[in-house]
Amino acid sequence: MECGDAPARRRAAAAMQRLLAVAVCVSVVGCGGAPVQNNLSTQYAQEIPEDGRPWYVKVPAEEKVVYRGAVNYDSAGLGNGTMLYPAPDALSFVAAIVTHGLLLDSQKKGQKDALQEAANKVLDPFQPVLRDVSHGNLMRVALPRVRTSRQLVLAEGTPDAESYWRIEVLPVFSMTQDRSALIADTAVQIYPPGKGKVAEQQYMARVVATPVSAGDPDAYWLADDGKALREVSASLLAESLDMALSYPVVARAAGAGPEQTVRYREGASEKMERGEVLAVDCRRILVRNLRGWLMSLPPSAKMELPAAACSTTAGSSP
Amino acid sequence: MTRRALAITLLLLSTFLGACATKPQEPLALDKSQLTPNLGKVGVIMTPIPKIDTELEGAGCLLCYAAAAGANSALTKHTQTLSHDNLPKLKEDIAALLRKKGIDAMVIPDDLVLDKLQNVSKKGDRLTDKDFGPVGAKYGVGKLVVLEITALGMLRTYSAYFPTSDPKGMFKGVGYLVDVSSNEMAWYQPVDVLTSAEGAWDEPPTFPGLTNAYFKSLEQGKDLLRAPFKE
Repeated sequence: MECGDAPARRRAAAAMQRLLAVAVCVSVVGCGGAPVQNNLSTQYAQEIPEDGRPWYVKVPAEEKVVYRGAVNYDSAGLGNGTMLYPAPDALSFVAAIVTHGLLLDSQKKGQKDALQEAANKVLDPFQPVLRDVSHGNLMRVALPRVRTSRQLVLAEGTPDAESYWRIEVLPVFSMTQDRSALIADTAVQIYPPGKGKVAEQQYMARVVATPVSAGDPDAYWLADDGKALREVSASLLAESLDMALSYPVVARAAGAGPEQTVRYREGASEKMERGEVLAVDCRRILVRNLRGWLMSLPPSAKMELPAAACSTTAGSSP
Repeated sequence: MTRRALAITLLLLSTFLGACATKPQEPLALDKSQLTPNLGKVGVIMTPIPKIDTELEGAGCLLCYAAAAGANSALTKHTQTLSHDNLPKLKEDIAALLRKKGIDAMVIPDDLVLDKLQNVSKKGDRLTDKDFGPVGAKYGVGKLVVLEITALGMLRTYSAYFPTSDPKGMFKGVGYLVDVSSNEMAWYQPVDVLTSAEGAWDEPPTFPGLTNAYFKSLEQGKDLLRAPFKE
């Protein structure tokens, strides 16, 4: 995907709009209060009924997976200041105010777009590999890694909506600016049999990969024709599906579930997220954030983990 | 104009200009070699936590402010329900870091109300405006680590009627280490943390993205105030 390429930008924008649409739906539904568990590897709560029928996994019709640079908007903004509206009459005054507003809106949007464009440059060395990452191929590698006991099948064509569960998946990947980690933001919509057009559950799942410790991250990602990029992307996608199948979206009761600020690693940086900790071990913390998103995060060194967290056998980390 | 009126005018003018010319205190890095048991007894104290609220910088005129306040009323209503997440515990965190260095440190549970302290007549670089001598005498400490939290909540910048930024989570304050006998500071650190929401910010009524940004700012602010006392 060429970041400067117009069709690619349109695909990326369309993917982000669909991702955000699901994100809005999930935010409206709210957060849930699943019990805290200490064994992340195998003991997920099974809230969606298991009836033995296969689940069809449908990926977007667009071929190419969207990758972008992780961006920080903390510095965005145009500052403050007084503004005078010298005008000979009321009409001119109103026109001056409206013009001021439009100019500011345009500047703010332009500034954010510029920040994202600058962040996307982190992917420049990897474009030859990323051009060939398709949704179908990525899902074929990811599906065998999903730990659920359910039978997941990649949908070829249109599966029978009356007979089978269907999952629609849209992942978008970000790379940290230090190139040491990938982040997957995946919108998941689950359709039960007989309800072809109405998603019963919708999720946003974010999985932040454990940062690579290679001295030269570019060489690491590009080695063997980009194998690590594809493998880590597939693992993050598999982890997203695991979370989506294990933790249903439940309306959050007032005061339910203690909130805390979780510290985790995103590349070489320490980041924080406020939410409810659902499960924890040495390598991963599973959090439901304030938007109701499920997040699988590598804990930072400053994060205080329960004593038992590292004593159980954890699953593999993406 | 009579001579007396002229003298009064000149006096007022010079006072005004003198105040404007007062240099604000520059940040002072803490010399970690001072953090030894020789520092004496140190008290860690905090000013009252301000009301958690929205700030609308730049909406200067009355009508501008009214328009901005109205446009952000849902956010303000939610912001005022947010907690400070046990911010006073920061005093104990810093006291514990001082004790690790062998310093006799205590947490002062009472809030420090700066307005109740006397002003000092001697001004200068590294000198506080207030006299901390009585505070030191009251609690039996020779040094004070003062944590002055000035603003918590959300900040949005404006140019007259229009926002120039999305709202951001905000933590503002200053930390300083003051010798109560001389009111001289060995450390002065302003902290101003603004964090944007990830993705959309306008998500009423609970604004989860901005709420997350606020708690991030809170944690980062605490980290910055703790950092000089760490190894």
